[in-house]
Amino acid sequence: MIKKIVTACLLLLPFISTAQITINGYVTDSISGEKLIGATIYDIDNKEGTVTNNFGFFTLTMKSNAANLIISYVGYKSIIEKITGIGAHSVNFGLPISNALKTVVVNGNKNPIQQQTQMSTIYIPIEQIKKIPALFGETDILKVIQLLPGVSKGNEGSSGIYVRGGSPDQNLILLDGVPVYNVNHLFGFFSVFNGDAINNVQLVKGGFPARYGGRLSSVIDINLKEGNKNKIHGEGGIGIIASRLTIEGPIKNKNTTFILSGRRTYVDLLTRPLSYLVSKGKASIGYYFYDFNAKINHKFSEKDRVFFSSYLGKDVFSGKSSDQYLDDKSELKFYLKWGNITSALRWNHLLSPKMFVNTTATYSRYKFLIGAAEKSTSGGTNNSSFGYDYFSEINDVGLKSDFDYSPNSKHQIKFGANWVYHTFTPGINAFKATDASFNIDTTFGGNKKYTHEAYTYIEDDFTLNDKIKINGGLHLSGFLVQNKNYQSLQPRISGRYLINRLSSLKLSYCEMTQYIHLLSNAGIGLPTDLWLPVTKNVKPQSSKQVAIGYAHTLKNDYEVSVEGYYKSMKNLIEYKNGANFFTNAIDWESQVTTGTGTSYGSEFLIQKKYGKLTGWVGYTLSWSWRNFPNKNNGVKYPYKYDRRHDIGIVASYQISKKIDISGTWILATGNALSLPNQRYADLVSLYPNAANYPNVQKNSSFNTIESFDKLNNYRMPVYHRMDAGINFHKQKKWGELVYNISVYNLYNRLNAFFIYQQTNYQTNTTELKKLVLFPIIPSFCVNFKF
Amino acid sequence: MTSSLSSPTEKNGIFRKSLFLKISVGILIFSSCQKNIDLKLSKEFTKPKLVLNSLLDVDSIISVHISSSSSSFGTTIPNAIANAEVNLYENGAFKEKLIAQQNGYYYSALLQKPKPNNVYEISVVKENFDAIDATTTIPIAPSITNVILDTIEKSISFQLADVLGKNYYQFNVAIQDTFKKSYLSVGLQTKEKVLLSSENQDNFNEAGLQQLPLTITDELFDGKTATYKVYYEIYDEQLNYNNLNLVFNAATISNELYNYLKSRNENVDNSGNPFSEPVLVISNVKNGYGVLGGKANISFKLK
Repeated sequence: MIKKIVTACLLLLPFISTAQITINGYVTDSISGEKLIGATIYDIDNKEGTVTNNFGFFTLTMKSNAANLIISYVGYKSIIEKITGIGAHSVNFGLPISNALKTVVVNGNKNPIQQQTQMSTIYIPIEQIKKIPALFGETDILKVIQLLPGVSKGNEGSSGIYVRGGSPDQNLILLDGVPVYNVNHLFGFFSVFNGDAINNVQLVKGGFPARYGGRLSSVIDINLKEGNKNKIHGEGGIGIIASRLTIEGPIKNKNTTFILSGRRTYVDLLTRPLSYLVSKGKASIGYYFYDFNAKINHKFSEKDRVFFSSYLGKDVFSGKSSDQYLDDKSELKFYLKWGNITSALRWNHLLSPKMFVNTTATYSRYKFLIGAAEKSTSGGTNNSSFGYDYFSEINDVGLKSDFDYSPNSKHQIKFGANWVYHTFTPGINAFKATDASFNIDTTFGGNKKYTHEAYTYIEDDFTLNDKIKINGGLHLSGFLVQNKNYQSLQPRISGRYLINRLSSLKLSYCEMTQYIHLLSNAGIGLPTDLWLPVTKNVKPQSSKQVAIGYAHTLKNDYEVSVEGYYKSMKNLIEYKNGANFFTNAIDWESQVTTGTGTSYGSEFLIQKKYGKLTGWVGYTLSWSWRNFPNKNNGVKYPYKYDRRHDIGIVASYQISKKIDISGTWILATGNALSLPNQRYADLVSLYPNAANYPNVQKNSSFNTIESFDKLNNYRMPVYHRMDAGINFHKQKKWGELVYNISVYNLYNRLNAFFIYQQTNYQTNTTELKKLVLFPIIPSFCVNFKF
Repeated sequence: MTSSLSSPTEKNGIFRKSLFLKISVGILIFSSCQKNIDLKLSKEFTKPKLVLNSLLDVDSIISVHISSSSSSFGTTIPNAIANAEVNLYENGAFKEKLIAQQNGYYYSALLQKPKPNNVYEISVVKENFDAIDATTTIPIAPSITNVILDTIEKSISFQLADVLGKNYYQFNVAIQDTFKKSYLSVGLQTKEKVLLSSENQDNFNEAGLQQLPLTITDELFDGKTATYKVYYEIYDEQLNYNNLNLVFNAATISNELYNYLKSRNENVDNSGNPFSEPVLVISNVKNGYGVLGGKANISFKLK
């Protein structure tokens, strides 16, 4: 089948030439050997070029017998290389890091924004992410992404990502090509990604290339480092709540490299003894999370490389308490655990100088468990015990192949196929109770669903002429569940028209289909959120999105983009009125209702990626609506995370070799929230026999009920916050020490995490209260590299 | 509430809910502080509306209760209104102005009772409020025969002949204290799958069995005649049975009353649960709150 597709592509494309030069190879960091994704290879003479793929690989074919290449990448010095002679040339390029303190001499092509066909896509250099001040000093990729236009944050402190009016389940978050289902540590206050192990982050909000699928709203593509090829290298940090360590380097020779990275919190080391003391020995409570990344790769030959990467992360919140009165004793233990495991085994193979293939076997698991056990003794003799566990799980096993084919410099063709076997376990209950009179040990729920998901795609990024470049493709996907087969053909197209050397107009259209749903309760990143497949009754979500934009590169490498978008979504699900997690997961299909959504808006971004000063200013003006026939009386209502205005400013400035500073500021319209607006007399209290008895009875007094005239009828107060940080670098014989001082919420804005009503019995009024989680929080962290 | 709570499903549900709420609250208390919010409320929060509540029962003289709503965040409370102008229309024609009596109730001066299949409209005018009106159609009492009481298994079986089209029913069993002339509460359960259809399911608790009263649609037995069985549970076993009558009530209720009761029950059940989506109470009162519902009842004294 694959051969046929390849043959068809070969026949269809006009690329035959008598005098061609083909250059392929890898672009890496000259010191660490780390691959550079998205590096530009541009022929100055022929005015043709390409970029490296996710493995740092490129191939460029031109009708010429020589090439004068400039190889460039953000934050690195460009190099120029002349290659002569027709035929194939395999060349690897190592780029040296540029010194930001010196005048930037690199003016070469860096694949500027106006040249790219893809729109609604943002690359963020990991070094920039690590400079940005963070809560408790913990670098958080997702929180940085929240500062970009088109992306809304969820509740205060949460790592939830809401892209162009979509929900968090509509984000495809890939770690080395493997989907990660729950990206939250500590109930969403931190993400599971450890910045030290990451090489590259890319966010796609629209104009999705055909190679991506399975989610409606965004792709966050995160690639792990491969490991230093030249020497053993380490880095880490000791912070207020967590410490981390990363070791990377070659094994024996430079053909094999590894990276190991771990992180653990130690909140529990403080809270357990503290809670024990406060409760006078009756209780202790603790929380910790850890995550661990490992990757090893081996180069068998210039044509074959194999990678194995794995992520393991877990959160544990647990506690116990005991009580005694005379001869009666009881002991209670509870626990809440959740975590992901992902693994990928990849094989890169160069089929020909023009064709690269990556084959990946993937595994992903997310598991959540909540439980408790109680033992009690009465009168010193009667023993009883009670235990309860509830867990849900999703397991994926998959296989995919992705081909990169460059017949000539005008066509960059990608095609491939993917298959995933999902096992959904929405909720299993295990219940044990023992007493003198009874003994129950039962398990129920566990209504597992086994599904197959597959897709195939083809896309071509082709240059029509000097001004017009188009990325067009098709994505065909299918999902088999309960003997029901869903299929979807999704056209994708995006293009740019170069107005002049520095600016272009862009347009894109894409259709997306999603076969899994997330049933979420409170939107605060709770691990209880249930991942569920489509079924015979619950259909796949789908979306159509059109976007138009303008991109411009100013002097001093400031990139400016303005985009407008309109997105419509179908078959979204939400809990029915009154339903929630506490209703039984077995019957989830009867607890949900389906509807549609629309979102539209415009986004402005000015970004500077390198130099002494880096950062961006982003602004979003947007609307996001939901329309469910069974909710809000069938009238459309604003989505919970509908944000009219959203501003994010990020800046880092390197003052000297020893000091750099950074700051962020965010301002956003408050979340929409449903509040009762009026209370009024209830029929059932006036006519208590509204159904019960013959003849109408009437009461002289009445109870009241609270009326919600509309869903999401109230806005939380405007959210704004400033964070600041400073790094002091100190060179040591063995490496470098970095002292980081950062302040989260610099001016102590008391942003609401949660709003609720409370009756004030003194004034006999209902008050609205906000729960504030994070006032001003200074933190100190020592980072090191060796 | 004993027997229905005995299933592991329900115990688990309650335990899970309680455990999870405790953990959540524990986490939040551990790491947060609370502040009052200065409320800037729009008109929909602050402006009171007229509230009309009425149950038009074919066996009772027409009555309406009129009151005012109050802001959920204000210092005022909802009050009965004594001097509103309340007009009654029957099948589109003006019938009479209802007379105010005590506690916000207005009655038909002509001592009229609503008639099945007739359409009734009530309009209310009161100064400083937007005028309101509501309409409902009075249903026909259900066709029920062969009502059989089984005191051993505590069940009542009955045959219901459903009329084609959307119908809404309520079933209840009451104990009438012949000495005190009052009614006592009785639990009612059913295992009939047609009564537990998807639309009706929300009317039952987690064990899937119990709700007072059983309020259902004919979704799964539209136009059919069949026999069903319901089980009753008397909570107070110390009652003196010599003074008691067991009464089985069945009623057809109007669409408006069904929608109100269903959404009202969900609203009340989920009140104060931060993990639950809020429930809008469905009302047929234009520009106001409450409900104008219709009901036709049939009762069977079984003992």
